[in-house]
Amino acid sequence: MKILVVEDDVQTANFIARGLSQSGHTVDVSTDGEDGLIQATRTAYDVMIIDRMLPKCSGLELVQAVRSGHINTPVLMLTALSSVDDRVEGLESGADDYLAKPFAFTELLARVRALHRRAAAPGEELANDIHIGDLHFDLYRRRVTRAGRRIDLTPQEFKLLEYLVRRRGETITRAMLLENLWGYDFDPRTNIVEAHISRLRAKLDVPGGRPLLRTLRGFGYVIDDAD
Amino acid sequence: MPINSVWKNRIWKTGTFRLAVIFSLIFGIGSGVFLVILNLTIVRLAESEIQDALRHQLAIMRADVKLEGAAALSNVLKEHSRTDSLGRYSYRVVTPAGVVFSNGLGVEAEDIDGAGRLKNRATTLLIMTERMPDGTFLAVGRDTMALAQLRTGLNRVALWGGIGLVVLSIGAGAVSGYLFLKRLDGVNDTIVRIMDSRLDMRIPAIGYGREFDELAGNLNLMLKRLEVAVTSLRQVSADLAHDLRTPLTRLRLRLETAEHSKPEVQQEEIRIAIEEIDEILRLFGALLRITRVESGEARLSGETVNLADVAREVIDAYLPSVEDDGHRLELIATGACEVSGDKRLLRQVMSNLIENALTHTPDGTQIIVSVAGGADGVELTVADDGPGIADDFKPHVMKRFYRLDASRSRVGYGLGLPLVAAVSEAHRATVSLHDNAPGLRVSIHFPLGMT
Repeated sequence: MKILVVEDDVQTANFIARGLSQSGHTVDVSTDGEDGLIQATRTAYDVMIIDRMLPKCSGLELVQAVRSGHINTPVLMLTALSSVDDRVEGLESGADDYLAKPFAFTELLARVRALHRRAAAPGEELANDIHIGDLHFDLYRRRVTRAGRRIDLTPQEFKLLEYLVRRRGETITRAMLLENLWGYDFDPRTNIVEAHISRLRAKLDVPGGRPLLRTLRGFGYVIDDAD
Repeated sequence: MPINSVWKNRIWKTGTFRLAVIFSLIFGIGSGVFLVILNLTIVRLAESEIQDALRHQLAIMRADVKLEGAAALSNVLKEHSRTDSLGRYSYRVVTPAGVVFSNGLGVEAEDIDGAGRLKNRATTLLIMTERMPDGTFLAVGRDTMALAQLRTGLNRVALWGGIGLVVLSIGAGAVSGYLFLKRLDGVNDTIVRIMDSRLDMRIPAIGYGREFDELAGNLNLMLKRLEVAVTSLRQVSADLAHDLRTPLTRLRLRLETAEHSKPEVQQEEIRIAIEEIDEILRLFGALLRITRVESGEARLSGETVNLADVAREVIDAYLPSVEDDGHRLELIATGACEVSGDKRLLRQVMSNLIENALTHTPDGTQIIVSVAGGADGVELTVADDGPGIADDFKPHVMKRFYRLDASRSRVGYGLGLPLVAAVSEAHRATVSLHDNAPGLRVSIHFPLGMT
């Protein structure tokens, strides 16, 4: 992936750039809004990471300028502000996702990947019939089978599984699940995500069989049939 | 420093004083016009009065001439003028034989036919003349001295009265300007003290009329709002200073120890340190959110929220965790449960209440969430049959960082109920804690206005 990082704090920008490069991505860094806009229009990027507060031109203005130039590259906006209102404002300006500082790098990486996949294969999320290994997910009939065996899921479990299988192979973080499945913009103390995941896993996996839904410790969850 | 002259200058510049000057000018012009009209009217009235008297005199003279002849009239008049000490009337009688009687009226009077006026040495005379068929000429006049005196008197009264009134109103303007300034100075003093971080001060009533008192009242309302916001912010900084120090100290010690540890221990210590940082950030986030809600910075989206639906979603999210903990969780919804407010904040309120019930009660506890819409609003209740809270502690649990049992590790930071209280207040809802016999029942009442 070719990624543009527009962040005025040089250390933060370097950490992000280093981490993304180590994950095999090409990264350009820009430290102010104006330069960011020039780079964004000159080069075709797969994803742009833009800080909300930038010198010369704010992140919101930068995203608006980029969008008015018909550049539809997915944008992840970073911000030190975290109130609900700011989030809404950021998304309304044309950003595709919003991440509050401070964040775990894995969270950033997971979101960048998710944005890229959504932009690269927009139809995938609409598929109604998904096979992952011996798991068959049939949204149309709302039926899930594993190796031909029917699995009964509660509506909550079905919703969770649907979210995961549509993003197969991708790391899904706790925060992403909280946000998108339960509408939580705060982090509850109770491990509600873990409890849901372990119930779903108990139903999906057969004793002795290969686990389909894996926990990446400190990262999140991934559903895949690969090893 | 000539404070007095400063004061004087300030008085001249007050609105009250300027108003007084403008009003006295208007009054001066008005009374001038009034005076002119009064003058004309009085003079006209007085003149017509004199003319009536002259006509009457003439009629008497005419009757005398007819009865006794012009010569007899002359004699009467001679006699009359000798006794008439006042000398108000002047006569001229010319008999057909050419004998003239006059007590002041000269030959000029014979040029006048009927009513007229004659300028004498000192005064103006009003004249009435008549030439009788037998050739007798009769003329009677009266001076207008009294009229002129009346006029002068009137003018003098008006002039001095006017000057007096203007001076009086300017004086009154200055005095009321001074009084107004003094009252405003009271207000200004208060404002200076408020700027000096005394936000609890209130502006005294200006007392110069309803509109000024309303102004002071509104300023005080504004101050009250500001005081709440500032107090809340001050509280946060105090809380942060106090309650962040403990986890940060722990973190620092951990990293210090890790610095001199073996690499494999180091990795584990760093992992725990990151978890601790996440905890601190969570605390920080919770505190900021409470502050934003309390200070009114977080605008309520004002959407229509069905509390029963929100409760259902939250319970769906919590059910696996609750059951894993060996608790039971149930929803009872009755009536119309719609309120106007912020769905995300209300969702967090329910989550906090459920989490509280979950973390402070033993296994097997039953948690019942009920949402009941009624005639006077919607009541959200989270009740458990756990150990409950003793009455003595109930008033404290709404305070930030208040923990009933600090020895337990899962009790949190003591920010759950304060957020519930802040969000409820932002929704004009009231929170109350009750004994569920056994257990705790937390009720939030959303009044009808908000539904």
